[in-house]
Amino acid sequence: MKRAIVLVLALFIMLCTCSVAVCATAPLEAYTIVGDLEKVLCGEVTFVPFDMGSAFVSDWRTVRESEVIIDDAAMKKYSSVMLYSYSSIDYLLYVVVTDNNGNQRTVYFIRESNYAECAELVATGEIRHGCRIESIYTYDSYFYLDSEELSVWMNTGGPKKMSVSEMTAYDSTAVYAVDSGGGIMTLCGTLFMEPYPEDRFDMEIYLLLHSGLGDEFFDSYGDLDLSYDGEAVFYPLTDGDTLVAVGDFLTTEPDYYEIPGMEVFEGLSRVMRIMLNIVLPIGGMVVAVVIMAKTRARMPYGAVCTLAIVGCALVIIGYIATECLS
Amino acid sequence: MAVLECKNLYKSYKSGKYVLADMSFSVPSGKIVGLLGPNGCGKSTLIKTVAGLLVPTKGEVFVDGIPVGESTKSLVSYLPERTYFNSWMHVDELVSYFADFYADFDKERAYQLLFDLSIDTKARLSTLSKGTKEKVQLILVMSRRARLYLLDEPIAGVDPAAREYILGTIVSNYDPSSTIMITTHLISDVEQVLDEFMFLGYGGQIVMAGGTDDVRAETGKSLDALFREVYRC
Amino acid sequence: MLGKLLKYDMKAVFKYWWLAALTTVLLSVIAGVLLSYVIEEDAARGVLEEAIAIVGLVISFIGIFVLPLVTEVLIIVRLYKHFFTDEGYLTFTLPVKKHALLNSKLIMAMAFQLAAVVTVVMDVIIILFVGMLCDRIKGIDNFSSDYGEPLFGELSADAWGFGILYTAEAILIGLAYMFVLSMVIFLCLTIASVLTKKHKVLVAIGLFYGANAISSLFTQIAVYGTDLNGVFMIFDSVNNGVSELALKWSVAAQLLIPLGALAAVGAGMYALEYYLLDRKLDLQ
Repeated sequence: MKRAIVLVLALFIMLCTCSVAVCATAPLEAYTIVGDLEKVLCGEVTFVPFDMGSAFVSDWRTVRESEVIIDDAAMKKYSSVMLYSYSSIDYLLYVVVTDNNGNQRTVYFIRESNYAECAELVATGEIRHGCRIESIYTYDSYFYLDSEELSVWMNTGGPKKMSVSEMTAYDSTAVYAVDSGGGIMTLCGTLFMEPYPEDRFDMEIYLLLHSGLGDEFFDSYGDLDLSYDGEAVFYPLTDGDTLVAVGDFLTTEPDYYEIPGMEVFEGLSRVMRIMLNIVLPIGGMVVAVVIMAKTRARMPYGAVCTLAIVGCALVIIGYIATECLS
Repeated sequence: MAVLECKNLYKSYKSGKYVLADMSFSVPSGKIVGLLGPNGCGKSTLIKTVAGLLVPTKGEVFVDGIPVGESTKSLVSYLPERTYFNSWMHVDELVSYFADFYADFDKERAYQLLFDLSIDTKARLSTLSKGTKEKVQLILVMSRRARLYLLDEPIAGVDPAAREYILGTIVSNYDPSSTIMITTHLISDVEQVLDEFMFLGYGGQIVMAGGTDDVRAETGKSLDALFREVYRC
Repeated sequence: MLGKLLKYDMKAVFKYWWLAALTTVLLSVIAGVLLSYVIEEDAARGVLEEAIAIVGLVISFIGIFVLPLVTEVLIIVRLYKHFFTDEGYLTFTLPVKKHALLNSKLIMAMAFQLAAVVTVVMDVIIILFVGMLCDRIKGIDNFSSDYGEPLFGELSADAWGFGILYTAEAILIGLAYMFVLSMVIFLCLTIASVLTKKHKVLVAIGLFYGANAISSLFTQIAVYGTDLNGVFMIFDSVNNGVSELALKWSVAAQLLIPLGALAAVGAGMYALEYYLLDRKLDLQ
């Protein structure tokens, strides 16, 4: 009995230590705001203010509140200072401040070493490192093309001069330029695909880049005006491998696309995950300890129950580590 | 010390009916004991329980003071009423098998007995006749220097000449400090070798027990005649 | 004593297993020759010849991939005869611990299952090798470019850099799976022998199918109901901006889940099996 208790205690301590160690690798670091939002420091890293312009953060869902230290000047000026960082984008964060009049504003900060590249991206919208094609079904799913693949696309098949209004019959979706870290995206083009293709791996796909187009091509909201008659350069996609991949992406509906009650399913799914990966293994460990106690850990129950406890612990550790890391 | 002791032994199978009910007895060492009774009275069940093949429903069984388990299996040599060897094995492989697992196994004695019976040690068990198979089994069991020999119906289903041989082998090869328990319903063949007997009744009750010579002197009857009297239908 | 038990168990199964394994090796040589013949382009041959070659190829492949099934049958026969028939009188009167008897069967089962997998993999390599050899003799090189290089290219690529860790985890998961599979088979036979006197094998087969159905249902719920995002995100990491290193560790962590689950389930089954053998099995 004593052996069983000692073993379970040891395993729980090991479990807690592993979980803490794993979760601690995605640390809730303390950030220090210097002056009146002049810069933000985190250890050796300096974040400078960054104007996102019309760009946006690619993985905005992974935002989390982080600990922030402010100096007296900021403390006097603002009633609330909240700093948010992204679990998946470690060079970007934003601060939401509320002044003493209740006015709120958001200031983005970017790591100093990423500033130049991202500022150029926001200013020009030009593709330097790669681009993402948005799914025509959801706003959360993208197809990534690096600059080399894009270069092959643009240099094979030959560009075509066509009027934008000729493409009204085509389905269209947005193309975003991304920075090298993949965290910031800005609209840089429109992709047109033939509707109802006979062969989804060999269909007509055209890329139109917005840089170089005059304001007359865009409506008052900044979107491409598909009724505009002006001619622009379209790049047809003729490279076989890329055509197959892009065609497949654009024509594949995601499983969860517009299923009613999806939130309920996702909620149930989470509960199921916790049941299977935490509750059930804990139950297994309890049963193993009880059997060990009843049999006084004699062979083979002692060894077998130990194996069961270790197995259950692995399930719990694996699940917690997965949740923390992804 | 008694070589075998049963205390309040109960055994039932899935039907719930007790085959052995509240059996308590002890068997001294150095005796040949006959466990006698009609078919289905629990003789084999008792033997198997002592051999460790069955788990008692209630009660305790001790061999040489040790509860029946892994340790007692090295003290007990058991011969079941059926062929229980792997038929693809050769006779010499079986001898090696016994020598491997039983520290008290006398390999030379086994080979001598096999030689005496002109049994080819290279022969596969499946090629031997039923009677020869049973002789091989008996030789292997009796070649052990066990504390307790349990022989379940050793002479059933064999011809009279073979029965005589088997009984002769039993008597000539067992260690006088050991005990042999023989179950059988062929009492007339067996009674001349028995020192003691137990008559079992249905439900595993001991109907009568004692020394064979004593009961013959007292009643003036053979054990066989006494059996017929006790179990008269 | 465990060593001695294992020696006899391995011998009993190997007596027949080696023949089955050797047959698959011969079949793989035949398959290699036939495959080289079948994939040769522009070769002038009749419809009947081609049909015979294809049928021969199919039979060879079936013969090779049926080895794991044959192995399971041999393991089952050994366990059944040794525990649940008249041979059980000898087995359970040996002066060995009951868990040593069980461990011997388990180790034997896992060893032969592993041997079957290794043999099948070896057979596939022999097929490719013989095919390439036939190509060389014919002075063509269809085979290696169509099949050999892509396959070996895939095997030698280390796309993730976590290859060793994933391989180790995969091996452990494979061993755990064999452990659980063996225990399922043992349990079905033991429960059938405890429950019935007659038709033990039929009852065991029924129990096995039942266990399969339950485990399939459970796996469906576990996999589809819990939405294993991480495994699929690894192929789409840059698109969603998650750090690649974190995802690689995430996959390694996720592999702990089936490993732990299999170990725990296998251990539970072992405990139940031992309990049944020790307390509930009455050989009659």
